[in-house]
Amino acid sequence: MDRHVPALHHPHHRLTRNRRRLLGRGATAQPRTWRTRIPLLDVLIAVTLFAGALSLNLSHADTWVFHPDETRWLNRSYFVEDYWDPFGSTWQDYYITRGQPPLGSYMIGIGQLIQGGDLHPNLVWDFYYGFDSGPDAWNPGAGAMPSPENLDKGRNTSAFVGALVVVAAYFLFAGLTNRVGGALGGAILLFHPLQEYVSAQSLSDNLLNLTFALALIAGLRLARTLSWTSAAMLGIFLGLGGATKLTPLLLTLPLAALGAFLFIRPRLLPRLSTHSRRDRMLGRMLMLQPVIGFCSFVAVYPYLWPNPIVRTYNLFNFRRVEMANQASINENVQVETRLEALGRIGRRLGTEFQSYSHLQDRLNGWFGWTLDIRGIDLIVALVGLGFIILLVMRNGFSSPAGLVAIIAAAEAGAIVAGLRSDLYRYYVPLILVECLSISVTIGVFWQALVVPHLPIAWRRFVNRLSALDPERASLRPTDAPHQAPGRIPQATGPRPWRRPTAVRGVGRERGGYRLVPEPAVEMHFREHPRPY
Amino acid sequence: MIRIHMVRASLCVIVLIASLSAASMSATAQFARPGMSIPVYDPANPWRIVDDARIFDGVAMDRFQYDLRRAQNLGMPIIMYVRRANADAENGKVVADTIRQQWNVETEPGADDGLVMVMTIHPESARGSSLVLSYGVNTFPKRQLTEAIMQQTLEQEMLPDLRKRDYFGALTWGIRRIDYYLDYTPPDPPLLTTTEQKVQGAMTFWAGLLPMVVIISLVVITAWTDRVLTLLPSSTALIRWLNLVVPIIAISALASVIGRSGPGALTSLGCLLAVGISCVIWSRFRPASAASPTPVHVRSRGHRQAMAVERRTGLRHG
Repeated sequence: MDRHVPALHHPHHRLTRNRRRLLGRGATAQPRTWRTRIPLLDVLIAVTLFAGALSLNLSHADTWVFHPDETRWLNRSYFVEDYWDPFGSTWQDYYITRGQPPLGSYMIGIGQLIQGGDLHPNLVWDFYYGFDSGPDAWNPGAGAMPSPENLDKGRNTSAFVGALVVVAAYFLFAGLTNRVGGALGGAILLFHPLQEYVSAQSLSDNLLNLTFALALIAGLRLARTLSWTSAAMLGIFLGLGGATKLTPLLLTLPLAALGAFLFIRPRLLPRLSTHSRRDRMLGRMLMLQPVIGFCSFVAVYPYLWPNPIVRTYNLFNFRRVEMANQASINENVQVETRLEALGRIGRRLGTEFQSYSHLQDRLNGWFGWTLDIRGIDLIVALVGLGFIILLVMRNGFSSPAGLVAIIAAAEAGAIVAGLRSDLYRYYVPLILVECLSISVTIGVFWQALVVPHLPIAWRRFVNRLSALDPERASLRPTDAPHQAPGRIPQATGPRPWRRPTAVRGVGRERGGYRLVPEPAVEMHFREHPRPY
Repeated sequence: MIRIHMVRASLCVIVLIASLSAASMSATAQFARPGMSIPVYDPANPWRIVDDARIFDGVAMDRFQYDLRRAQNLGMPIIMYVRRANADAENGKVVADTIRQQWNVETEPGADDGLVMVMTIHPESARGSSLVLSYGVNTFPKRQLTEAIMQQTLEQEMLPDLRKRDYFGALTWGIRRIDYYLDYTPPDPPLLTTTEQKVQGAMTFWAGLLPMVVIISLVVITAWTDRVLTLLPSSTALIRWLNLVVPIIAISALASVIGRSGPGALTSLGCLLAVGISCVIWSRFRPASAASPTPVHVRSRGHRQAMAVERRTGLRHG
């Protein structure tokens, strides 16, 4: 046991004590209720991040540079109305239905309805006649330019969804590390220039990020709870992500491959399979992801209903041809090799879109400095990536970190593999992955370097705040016979996820090999119990 | 003598003038009336616009050619003819019809689905200029481009520019509106066959019954299995209910897609969602398993395990 941390607040100690004191989990098993299980502190942090993100995004909505792609999304607002006529002319096979999946259009349409806007605000912007939006250009004169009011409504919708992305990111990061890592990671995402960029335009990239973040949370929860609900939610969110931008639908395939591996590993490699029952169950759930994802994808896309498989193939083919045409039109943004794609990503995320650029500009303005530091984001993210890899090596792909790593790596790999044009919008999911890695770095260093030196009074205060959730508030001292009266009630909610060490012998007390000091690795994943 | 020479000279001049006039006239003119000269059709000529009035420069001609080619590729053969003549709109209409017939402006012989625009620039008065269309019986509708929309485009967008002597704008409005409707508007759904119509009618009727069937089957199966009237079934009852309603919903959805019944498809989807949400809610609030023992099939793994335990220990299981 680590002596630097008081025993009361050391989760590892808490687990050990529980193991000694309890004869079974039934003594403190909580009845199944439908009450919320998210601690108040999480709610406060999430609301703060949401408010900050929303106000920042809305402040840009009126002033941000116009992009003709916004008119395309606004033009398709009527999709949400025509969903109730799934066999009407809107869903026939032609350029508009093949061009983009409909979920982003639904989002814009719902935003228009809520704000009292028009579901037919403008005609289609015809890119054959250029990108010019001046008064003498063809497209504005032909009715392809929305009114400023409708454009603002679309941007407000995107700003709102962008704020939801930050909240989802917080819960994801906090679930993987701790609250500090989650909050700072969420704040970094909030101020990220690329996130600001897409949140200030009436586009669907924020919805893609939102579905991606929710899928990662569902994956985290699936690995922890092994429930069919979580498995279904994972598949549904990936399917909805595919209904936004196609790529997330492909993520179900590596998950299915992982599931197949976990399912057959106990038979092929019995010595390496210590939890065959758990792995088989998880394997079954993962193998169903393509089916669940595809069904969700088809359910929201009436164009696919007459012939789901052939038309889905047509969609992917159309997208491939469009991206090739896009690349051929503008040679400046053309990406030919995968190595070049990685280089472009490094340049965009490392130099052009840096999360600390605002801070750097402010410092330069206040103090007259000429700071121009680049690449810190990527360095910190790479450190976090290293931590994640260590975790995956230690706990396996069936752990929460492993599943999150698989999904994130698959999305990043799909972007690198499919990148044909160096357009900023294609990197939006990568900033979520980047902020995830950064939050892991922050969480680990916070837990390893800062927490041991925090005053006990501060930690008790934080524990009390964490104790203010309905389930724990109902726990009186007499309900838990193993606790001495007068002590701070301990967490009796879901236990922190740890790979069981009964057989493999990992852990200092069992003489196993540990790559990082025990408290840091153990504690940074569950500073306080998570309700997932 | 001098008078005979003068007559001969006059006749020569008249013949010379007549021959020059004949040489300057375009050929293939079936209608030998003034202002009705039709350009010569050249199948090898790739240009879809003929500018006899010589008012457009190379850039404008390239632009028109691009837009006309786009319309051609989208399924509408189209020709533009610009001329300068002291002729009215009716005259222009006849010229347009003639060009459409003689130049075979159609996707294939006999299709009669082409479109010809003839712009006549009056040399003296802008009000005398005209812009007319000639189209076949199968030209409209194409996608959502109807005859009415085409006429509306002509009257509200093309002719105003023509009156202002903006000849480039007048033709550009026409061709780009056509391109827009051909590229960015959807086709109408195909007509239903007799069978599909019957299926559609049946599924539209069934859409109203399906939710009731789902709910009533839940109550009936729960009552039959658990001997209690409740919406919270045991696991056995739930499995039986799912085995019944999920295939019904799947078949309803399939039939709705075949018959293109919107209400049927959406109701099936809604019922499937409701069943899924019900299962999630049931997993949270499910009743204690002692109320209805889970039936163990004789050949199930649980039964075989129980038999093995009984053999080893001599204790009867369950």
